[in-house]
Amino acid sequence: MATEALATNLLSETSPASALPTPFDDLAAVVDTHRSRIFRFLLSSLRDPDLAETLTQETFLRAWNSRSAFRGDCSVATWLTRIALNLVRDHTRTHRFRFWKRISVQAVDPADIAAFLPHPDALADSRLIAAEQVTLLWQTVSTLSPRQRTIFLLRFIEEMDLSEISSVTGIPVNTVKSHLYRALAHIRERHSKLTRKSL
Amino acid sequence: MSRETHLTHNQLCDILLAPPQETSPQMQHLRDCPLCAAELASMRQSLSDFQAATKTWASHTMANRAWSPSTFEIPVPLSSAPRRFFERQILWASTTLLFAAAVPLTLHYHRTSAQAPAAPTVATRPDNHQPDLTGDEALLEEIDQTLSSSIPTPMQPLADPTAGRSSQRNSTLKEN
Repeated sequence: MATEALATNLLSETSPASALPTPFDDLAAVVDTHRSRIFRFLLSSLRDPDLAETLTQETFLRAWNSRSAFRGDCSVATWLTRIALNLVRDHTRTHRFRFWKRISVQAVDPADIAAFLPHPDALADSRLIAAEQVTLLWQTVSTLSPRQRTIFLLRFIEEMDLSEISSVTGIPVNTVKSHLYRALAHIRERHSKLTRKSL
Repeated sequence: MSRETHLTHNQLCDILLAPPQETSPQMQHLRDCPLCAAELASMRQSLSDFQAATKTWASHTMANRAWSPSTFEIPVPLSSAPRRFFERQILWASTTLLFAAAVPLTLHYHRTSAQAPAAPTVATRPDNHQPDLTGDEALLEEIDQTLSSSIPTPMQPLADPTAGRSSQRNSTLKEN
């Protein structure tokens, strides 16, 4: 079903929420604008393309169903990310055992991610070093606590500022900062170990 | 900030998260300290590479899945499975509760229905069986009359069976 068709189908449903105009009235536009970002966040959080795709669709469906709750206090992107994050939490909580089993089976090879480094003109040596570092970072991020990982990804992949992260996660800004300090300390520690080993 | 003392981890993180003004002591130290500058540059480069690789990978994955608007479908909510599970649990629980409530109720009903007929018969008899009652009363009256009537002479000894014995006993005692 096309996105437009989805939007038409959903709009044809009579509901009291449709009385007040929201940015989600043009669902097709919202999906087109935010889908890739939501998918990327879910993919980097879950590392499972199938699951990320399903949860991306679920994110937009939930956003549509609860559009009356959107008061415009935050941006649409922040609101959608909040929904996506709640879905990740729900999924990892309710399907905890299945989730980890699935992750272990379908885990993305960090080396595969490093292969996507956009350094077409770089020297082979520096590309190798960069690939090694990306691999290490990818592995390190997976060892972070779920909260630290989420905050790290929101900051360094989605480039959200601290107040936005605070709004998405519902964690105070200072706590967000503390989580980032700890996550970066962990990364630096492993990074320096790798550097020492390679010397 | 001197060159001997390096930037702390938190100070480095602060610069990474939100670069301070160029005139700040931290930035001044970075200009003077090659070690801290190298550390910061290395971290920045790693994080930048990580971001670039992840973004490219995500775009590539999305493109490979041919995830165009034409394939965007209304999903079946993932939470439907646990919801269905809980619905089933609730159904079972309510069925059990209903059954548990129904058993004592049924028993109670049977007990009351066994006792109940006595009361209505008593209550309804005066209205529905008036001729029978008159007949009963006549019969009872007749019996009363029979009982109250004088005992026929041949039956007198039976009226007081101990009368003769007591006189005999008295005469025996006198003889002794």
